Amino acid sequence: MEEENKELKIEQFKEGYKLTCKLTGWLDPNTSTELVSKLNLNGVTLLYFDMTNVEYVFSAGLRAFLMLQKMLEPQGGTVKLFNVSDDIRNIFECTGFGSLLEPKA
Amino acid sequence: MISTEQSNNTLEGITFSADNKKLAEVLAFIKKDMARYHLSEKSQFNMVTAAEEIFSNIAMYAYSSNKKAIVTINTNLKDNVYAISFKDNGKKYNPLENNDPDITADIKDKNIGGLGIFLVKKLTDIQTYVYKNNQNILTIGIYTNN
Repeated sequence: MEEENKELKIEQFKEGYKLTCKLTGWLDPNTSTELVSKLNLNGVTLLYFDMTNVEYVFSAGLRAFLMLQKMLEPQGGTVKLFNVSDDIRNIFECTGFGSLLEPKA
Repeated sequence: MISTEQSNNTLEGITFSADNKKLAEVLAFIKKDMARYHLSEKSQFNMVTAAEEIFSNIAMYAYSSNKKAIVTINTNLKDNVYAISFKDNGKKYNPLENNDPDITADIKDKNIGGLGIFLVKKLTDIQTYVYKNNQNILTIGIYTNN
């Protein structure tokens, strides 16, 4: 039986200038493009990602988070990821993207 | 040099079309194969990630539109190394020759090129490349006694 590519589920919660996105699935080349295009960043200065249900972040995902950080810069915004698994944390740290993560509790 | 020429499962390997739509199928195949051996969770995670980077690079860059774009994947466990090889008929290219991206750059200065292959090198213990019979063959390996 063929596996379908996993959809990325994006749940957005906006409170004023803070946007929290709970992600479920993978961040691969397909879903990463989708993520960037689906977020409304108007007036957002804090973009948080709850990564509890994210199984993998591939390099396409790293690029997407970087792109979002760059998109928020003109409006003085930042991106932070929390609840990343240890394996995913390792991916961010060994590529120099550790600053996007909330410090390990 | 590691080789998957004599594979434990098939001699020919499994062929997928070189399309990112096939990613889930490719990674499921690799996960299922790795489950047969006692690799740590971290090793399995790292191999899946490295495999995704390699497969999606082939899907995006190896073929021009008028060629049947396929990737053949073989796996092997030998001498405490679990190896996966990726074979394609696309243009001759050794991704391991690329310069690594500057990972120390400040986030706002980051250049995003070469991240995929950089991850492959960091997450696996061995990487080899050969060009043989008009095919690129990229093989990654991880020690199983970690």
